[in-house]
Amino acid sequence: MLSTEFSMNLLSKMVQIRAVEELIADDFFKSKIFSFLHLSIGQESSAVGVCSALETDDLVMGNHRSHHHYLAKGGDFDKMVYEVYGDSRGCCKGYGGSMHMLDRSVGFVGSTPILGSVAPLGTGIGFSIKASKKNNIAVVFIGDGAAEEGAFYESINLAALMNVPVLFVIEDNKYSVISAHSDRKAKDYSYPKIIEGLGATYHRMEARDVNAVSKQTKLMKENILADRKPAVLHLDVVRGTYGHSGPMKEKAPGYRVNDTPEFIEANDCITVSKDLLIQNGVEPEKVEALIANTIKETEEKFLNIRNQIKVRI
Amino acid sequence: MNFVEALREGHLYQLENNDSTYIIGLGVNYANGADGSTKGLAELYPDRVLDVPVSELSFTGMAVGMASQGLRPIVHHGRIEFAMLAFDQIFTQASRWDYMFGGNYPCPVALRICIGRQWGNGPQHTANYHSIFMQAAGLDIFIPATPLDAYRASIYSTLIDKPSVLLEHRWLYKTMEQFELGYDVTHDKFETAAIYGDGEDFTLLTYGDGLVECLKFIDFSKEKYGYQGKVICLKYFSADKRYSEDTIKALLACKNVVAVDTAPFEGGILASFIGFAITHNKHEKINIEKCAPPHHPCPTSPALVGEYYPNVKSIAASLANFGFEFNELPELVFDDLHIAPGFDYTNYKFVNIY
Repeated sequence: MLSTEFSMNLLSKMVQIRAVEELIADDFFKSKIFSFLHLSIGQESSAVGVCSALETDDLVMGNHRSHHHYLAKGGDFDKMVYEVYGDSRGCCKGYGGSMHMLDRSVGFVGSTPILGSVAPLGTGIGFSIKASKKNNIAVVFIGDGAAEEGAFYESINLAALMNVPVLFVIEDNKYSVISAHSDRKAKDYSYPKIIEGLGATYHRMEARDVNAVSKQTKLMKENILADRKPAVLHLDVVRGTYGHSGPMKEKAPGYRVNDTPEFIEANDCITVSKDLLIQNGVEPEKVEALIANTIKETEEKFLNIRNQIKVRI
Repeated sequence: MNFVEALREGHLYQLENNDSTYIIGLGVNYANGADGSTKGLAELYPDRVLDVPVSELSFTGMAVGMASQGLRPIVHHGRIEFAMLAFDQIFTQASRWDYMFGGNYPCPVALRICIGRQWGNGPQHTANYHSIFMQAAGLDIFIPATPLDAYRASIYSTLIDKPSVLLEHRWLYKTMEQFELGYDVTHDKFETAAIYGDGEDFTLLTYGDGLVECLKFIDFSKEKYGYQGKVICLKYFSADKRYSEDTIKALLACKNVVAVDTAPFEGGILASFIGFAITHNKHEKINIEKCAPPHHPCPTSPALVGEYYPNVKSIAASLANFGFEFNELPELVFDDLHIAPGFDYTNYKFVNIY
């Protein structure tokens, strides 16, 4: 059982990520940001849940959509905001932008946006951990689209062959841009058959409850280190009200399969995790106060940085 | 020592001296691994000389990830056509890694990629895509032409903090050279080119496996006709600056230049170098002829390949455009045209340009 304090911290982190991304989206719509953006809104629980089970020396790689991975691993908030605006105080001094998050001091060793390419990179990072004989793992976040690239399948086999301690996390929001799984996969496509057949363990779950994700990740990390074999954690997440990139705000777009605006709201990871805390006996006022304070603090912090940045007028 | 043995000595030196060194590639642990260049190394270092699945993209990417975390992997690709399956990792990840993350995050992966001519290999095993790499900003490029080059490049490329690619001409594997091991391995610079000979009558500009035919031609034209020529052989193209000022000066000081390229000339390395040299020094005038394969892939049949690559006869034909007369040329036999040369560089004097 996770402590209440721990669960409250996870909720607070998710709220912080959402709040800052909403602020960034606002400025993007006002043509103040000239970095491509991919927002994680709706998917915060996968990053926060996974990273809450890791130590600093567990090394994480992300992808084109990685604000949440970076912040969840403890990446510097200010440096992320600066980077998105192309300011030299950013985590990559403005050379990378939103798709290149980096904070090596907390074990977030980079995000790169060529989809499945992070799978081999993460395997190499896991190899370096193995060579150093540390009791840690590498974690690679990829999307359900990227998980269709050969680099992913090749990497599972390679990592299994070389006993590389790596956890591949598939964040499955059901869409590659706006292509659904049924547009992209054979009728009998089977994740467990493929992944277990390549030599990794496989577990699939809903990611709405951040605590459940945290517990599962902890268990899988232990198994990776004990069994000396890679693993795949397949997390079903809900794409929020923003589309693939841009960002673009979506109101009931035609491509969505079952996730109506009502479904998205009802299954939102922050709402679900908040309700679970209350069900477990935390006073609703306390939870609401935590959320309100986190949003307020995040806005203040963001505006403080934002006011120091020269942006297009 | 031949070219392959020189590469092996370079690897052995690094495996002995740096525990972070890994050699990764298909069959590198075989008894005659990587054409003999990793022979016996897996027995000495079983944890660091690693055979891998036939998954070029992922094992190259694994090496890139390893390099980003401080290890020193060397990746071997037996033919460039297979390395091309890993171009995402070479071009989009390794070459941009340090830059896109704002610096201080080196990714020193060293790639060995075999390239170019070999009998019987045909259109899909002999591509000469050197120039593709020139546009990969961030990537150091080595094209060794001699066993000594191969030895030094195989070590130097693993000492620098940049990703690098050694483009190895298989045609050179049997060439010979005597030199002392340990030579200059800690030198902080690698020569961008070397000049062989000092004749003033004509200059042959080349790189890689073009050097053998050029030196053969220099010897022939001197013995038979008394012409004095020299060769400028390009060897290293730094990520920071592809062409050095001193190499450009050396070229612009020459007359009667023939660019001897074993890859189709248009869009190639020599065309690029010459173009850069001219734009860089707009008041200089220089006459240059070319001697290079036609702009189509290399065929398989020996009957067709015989006409494909530059040789003593075709170099003479190019020089004839400057007024040189070669009334009698040597007859080229099958072995001259199709079998990798056991050419010995030992007695050829050269001066390095940095």
